[in-house]
Amino acid sequence: MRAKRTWLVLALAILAALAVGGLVASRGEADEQQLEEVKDGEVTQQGEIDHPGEEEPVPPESVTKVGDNITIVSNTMTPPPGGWAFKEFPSPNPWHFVDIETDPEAPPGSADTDTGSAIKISVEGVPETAGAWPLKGEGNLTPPPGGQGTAEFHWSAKVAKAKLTLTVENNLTECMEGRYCTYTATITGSFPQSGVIWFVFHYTRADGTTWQDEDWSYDLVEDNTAVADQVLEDDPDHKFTTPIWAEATNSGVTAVSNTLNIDVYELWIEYFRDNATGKDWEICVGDAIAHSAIASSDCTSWEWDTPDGVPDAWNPDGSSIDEKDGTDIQIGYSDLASASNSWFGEAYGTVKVFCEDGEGNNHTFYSTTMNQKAKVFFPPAVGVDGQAPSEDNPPCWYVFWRQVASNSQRPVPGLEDFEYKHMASYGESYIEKDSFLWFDTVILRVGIPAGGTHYPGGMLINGIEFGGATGIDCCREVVEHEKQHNVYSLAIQEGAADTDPAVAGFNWVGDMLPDSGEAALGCVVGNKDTFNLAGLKAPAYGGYGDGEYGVMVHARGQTGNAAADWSKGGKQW
Amino acid sequence: MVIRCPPIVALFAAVAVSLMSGDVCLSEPQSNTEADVTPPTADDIENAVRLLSSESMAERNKGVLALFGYVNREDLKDLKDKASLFRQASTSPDVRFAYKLASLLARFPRDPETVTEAEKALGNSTKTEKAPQTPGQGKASSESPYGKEQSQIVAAIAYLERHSPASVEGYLKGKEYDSIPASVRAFFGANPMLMQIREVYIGKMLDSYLAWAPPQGRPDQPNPFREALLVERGGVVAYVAKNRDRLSQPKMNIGLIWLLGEIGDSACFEILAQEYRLHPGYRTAVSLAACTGSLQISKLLESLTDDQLQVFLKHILTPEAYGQIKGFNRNQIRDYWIQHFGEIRQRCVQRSQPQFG
Repeated sequence: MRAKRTWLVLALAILAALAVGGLVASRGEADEQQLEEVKDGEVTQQGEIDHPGEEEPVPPESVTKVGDNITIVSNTMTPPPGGWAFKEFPSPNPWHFVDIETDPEAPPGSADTDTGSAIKISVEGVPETAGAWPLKGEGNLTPPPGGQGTAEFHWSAKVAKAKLTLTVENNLTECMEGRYCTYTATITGSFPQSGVIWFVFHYTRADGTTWQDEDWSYDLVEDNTAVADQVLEDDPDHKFTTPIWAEATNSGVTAVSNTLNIDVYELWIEYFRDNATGKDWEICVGDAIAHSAIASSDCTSWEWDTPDGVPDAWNPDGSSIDEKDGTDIQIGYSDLASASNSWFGEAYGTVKVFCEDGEGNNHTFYSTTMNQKAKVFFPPAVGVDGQAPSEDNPPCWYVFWRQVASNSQRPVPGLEDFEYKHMASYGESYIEKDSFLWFDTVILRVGIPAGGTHYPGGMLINGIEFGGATGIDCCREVVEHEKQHNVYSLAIQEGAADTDPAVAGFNWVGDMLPDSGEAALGCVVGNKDTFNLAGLKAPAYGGYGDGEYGVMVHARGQTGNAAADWSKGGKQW
Repeated sequence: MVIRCPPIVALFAAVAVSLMSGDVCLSEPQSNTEADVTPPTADDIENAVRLLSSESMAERNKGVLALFGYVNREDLKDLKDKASLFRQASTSPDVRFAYKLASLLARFPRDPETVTEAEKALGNSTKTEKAPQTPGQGKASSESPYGKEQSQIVAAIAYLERHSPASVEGYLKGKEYDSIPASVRAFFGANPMLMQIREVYIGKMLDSYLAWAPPQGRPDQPNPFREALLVERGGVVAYVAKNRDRLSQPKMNIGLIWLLGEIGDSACFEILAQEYRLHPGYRTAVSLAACTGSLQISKLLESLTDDQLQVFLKHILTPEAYGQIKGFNRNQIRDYWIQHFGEIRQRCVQRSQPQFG
């Protein structure tokens, strides 16, 4: 009888440990405030069982969550000797749905207590409401042949409800790296309050490793403050998510909290680009810039700037200059008025963004950290003030293509010798004879179309295709074209023969091409317009078509320095 | 005096006026629509008149339009305070409104006070006008048609053209075309005297254009008269048509062939087609194609022999396009041209723009 009583005590003790001391915690993901179920209280015997020995109750060995509402509390019991075995047992009413299982490794009905090995007993399934619930083993210990005792386990357990709720200051869901955040664990419901309650706060670092911080309390509430880890370098998302949860333990009862997933950010530039074309890291003076930073949503006091230069070369401004993102900032034309060609491109293109996080910490990020600078371009077709160009306010292409760029090249070599004339011609040139001074003045001018496309649609003269060059290449062709006119004119002034006779409408001798150069070009001395440029290019060339053809051949295919072209739509765009 | 006109004419007039106003609103019921055929009440008229002095230009135009509708339907025979309304027109900052309101007032019986006012305005404006500009500068032509200073003269002419034509003639008499304000030239282009003045101007400009040659040693100089002629393109076409024989004998000036190609008006088709028949060449072909309307394609194709047609097409088409139609018969060529009419014409117009430098 003593053996029988001992076995009963052991079984009760185990189940008491399972039910009373074992934590049944639910860490519901959908609802972080979800109730945690704790089996508690006494275990009452519902049946009898023979057992040969008596052992001290042991605490639960593991708590395994298998679902939002189901936790397995595992324990080990030493089975009674004599060939006891589990077997399947139906669970009719009124038995509730707490299951006792054998060791998962032991097939149902096959566990043999004769082996004397430990049998793991799991309790699975928890009533949803508090109260005293009968528990029934799904398995059963069958007495050995000839043995005595009942064949069933029957228990009931008191089920209590308690919950551990973890909250964070201001209900943060995200924050910046390095920020101090205070978390509060609060227990409600039936939780043992005798003595101290131990709280453990679990955190996860940026690299995925975990750490924990313990503290104790006499009451049901405990705060813990932790610093958000630094986002790992080269993290493509520039953030990591740290799951944070807490445990509370007292008198063998442990409650587990909901999990808070906090996104921790580092300040980063998501994009900085021309709003119209979406070209990343390319912006044009006077045009809207689309900008966006990566940071937690609690950040304020945003500032965007391009700080390079003393004073700053470029000063973007606009209504979204103090916003995390937007499309309404641009570099004003006032900056363009004082700019030189060497300023464009990446020369002064570092982008700085600043913000203040929810804790008041300052965060500053420079685009150079990400090996980026904005390439600054100019709008070629307007004046430096952004207005329509005029004689006194030449287009930007004229202003900047004649200047040296940051790579020490001029976009259009030779353009520095030219004046701008607001005319519909690509260019013009002549040598102005001065009757008073002893020297002549070389006049070189470019006009409006020189910044566009040379001979749109092309032009076939003497089997040679002319035209199609755009931007700096067009301008370079025009420059070389006009300069070559003066080369011919100077040669003629200095005595080179140009004897093509006058014709109707063009009452002067010569075709602006020295006779000595005509044959090489396929032109004919005596014919002012061998290749009919009067019909192909403009009627005025009836008087000097050969000279025009000569300079066209000379200039054809001449190009600008692409690396120095920072006009919007140009070679670097 | 009330001008009587059939309702359809009235409708066109109202639409024309609203188009000139630049603020047509098709969804908004106007006074000429079927839904609004009941004669206007005194209140309607008063409201329309009140709109004329509204702050909003759109409201003012609405008022003018409503009154035009009443007049066109002969529901409104006269208005009170015409002189006052005339003053309102002549001081408007929007010269188009000035024109519309004064034209409306002119539809009512002659008002001596308004006539006096308008004649006075014409006299004053003559004193303040600028001296004629150098032909070829083209500045007068590019003058903005808007402005308070021009409203006075436009309103005056609009009123006097009907009630005192002699005053308008007196104003225009002896004037150089490019000394006349641009808005006057734009609004009263059909005035016989202005047409005469314009014709003289275009004749002079065209002669200068054709006689011009670049100075020796000064390459890439554009013809300084070209831009001014392009501004008056409609007048140039009319002038060339009228003086066709003189301008095309014995051979058309190449500068004129370029200019007509750049203007690209199908009214120049005949003269260029004739020139091409007599003196075929690249330039004439391109200008002719630029001036060939879709209804003239067949006629042009018929006028050329097979060989001539191939040469012509080679001149006006890109090498790729010419390759596509090689071997086509005339019907296929016509169909191709009609199908690609816009791009062929555009290319030829573009190729008729001189390139300097």
